[in-house]
Amino acid sequence: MRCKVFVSYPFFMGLSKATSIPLQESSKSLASDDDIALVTKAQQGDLDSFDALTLKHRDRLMSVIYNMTSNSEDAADLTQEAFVKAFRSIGRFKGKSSFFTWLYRIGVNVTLSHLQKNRSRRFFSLDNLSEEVNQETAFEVLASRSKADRGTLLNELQEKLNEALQKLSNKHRAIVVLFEIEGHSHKQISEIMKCSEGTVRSRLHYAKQQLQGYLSEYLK
Amino acid sequence: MKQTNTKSEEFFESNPLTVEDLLRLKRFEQPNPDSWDGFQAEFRRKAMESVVVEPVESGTWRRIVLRWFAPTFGMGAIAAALLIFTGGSLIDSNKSLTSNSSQIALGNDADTLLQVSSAVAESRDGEFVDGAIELTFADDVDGVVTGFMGKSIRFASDEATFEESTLTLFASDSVQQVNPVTF
Repeated sequence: MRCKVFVSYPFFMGLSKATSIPLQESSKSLASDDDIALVTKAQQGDLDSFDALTLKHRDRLMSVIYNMTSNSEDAADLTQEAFVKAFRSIGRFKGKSSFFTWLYRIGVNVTLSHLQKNRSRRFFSLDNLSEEVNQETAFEVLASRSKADRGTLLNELQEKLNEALQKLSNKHRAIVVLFEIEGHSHKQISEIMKCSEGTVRSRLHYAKQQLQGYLSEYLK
Repeated sequence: MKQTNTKSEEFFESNPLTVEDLLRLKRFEQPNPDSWDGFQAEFRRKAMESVVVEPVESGTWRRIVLRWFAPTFGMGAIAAALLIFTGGSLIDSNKSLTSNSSQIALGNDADTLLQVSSAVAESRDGEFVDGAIELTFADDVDGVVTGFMGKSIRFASDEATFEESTLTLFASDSVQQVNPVTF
């Protein structure tokens, strides 16, 4: 059979009425100019622009997901999944929040859904700690009090920290990760998690109380 | 070493460690640089896969002839056509087709009945609301039969109702078969 070759065009999902809705004026300040330009092109079907958005945000998104799962392989897979979902939904992104907030929301939801589905089979696969941790004051303090060598202490500490985080509920852990590790504001987290700032603050407070108990041996 | 210990002990006495101090250590966990190998290529593959029309089973369709369609048309026009499709109502029929879309018989296309499966919505973690598949064929100037299938599905998740669409282009020089190309 002879098959005719057709145009090669990165046509993709989201070809609904939302596709043609421009970013709202009032929300433009929430997203970086670079992101807005790339998102607009991506909404017009430019896969290269979406690739650029992927390259720009993948490190931080994977970091969030890794810290929520404590599993580097799962984090890589879920980051892929989040980007594919974002790609399919980019036509529906209306710029009411910044692109990264929207992307993080997808990433957090994908991860929460994964954690919910796999609650009975969870195991750690931890990333390496960079050498720079040795310069961190908190680690120096711990090292000065420990009889173990630094390498052993680091491994033990990393495991305990991840264990403690995994003891939290998924939603409490997500908020701790976004605030304490990723450095997002309460407002940004409330947008990502779709809850009020008050809820973010109270969950954070409760989660830290829990962590204080789980990590008490290091806080003496 | 002794100096470091002294400094740390002094610090510790005046600044006991907090949960925040410990959590900050997690910022030093770094993924293996190799973990990004092939990430973009894999993403592109999955992204393209995600827009492929799933095999259809039975049900509902609407025939719209787009005689004006040709490869030289801009995608904007095709997109506009698909928007018209997705905004249209469904016409039910009793006949059904069980088929992989690569083996759709053109001779029977007027009777071909397609349905958006609720399984598609479930695969998106959503609940099926409604959907449509539209199929059209035409001869182009070279005598090659062309056609395209537009699929639209609406589904509701926990947060909102979503709509997504795909467009598949068919081509064949035979009246027996068409081959799909999905964008």
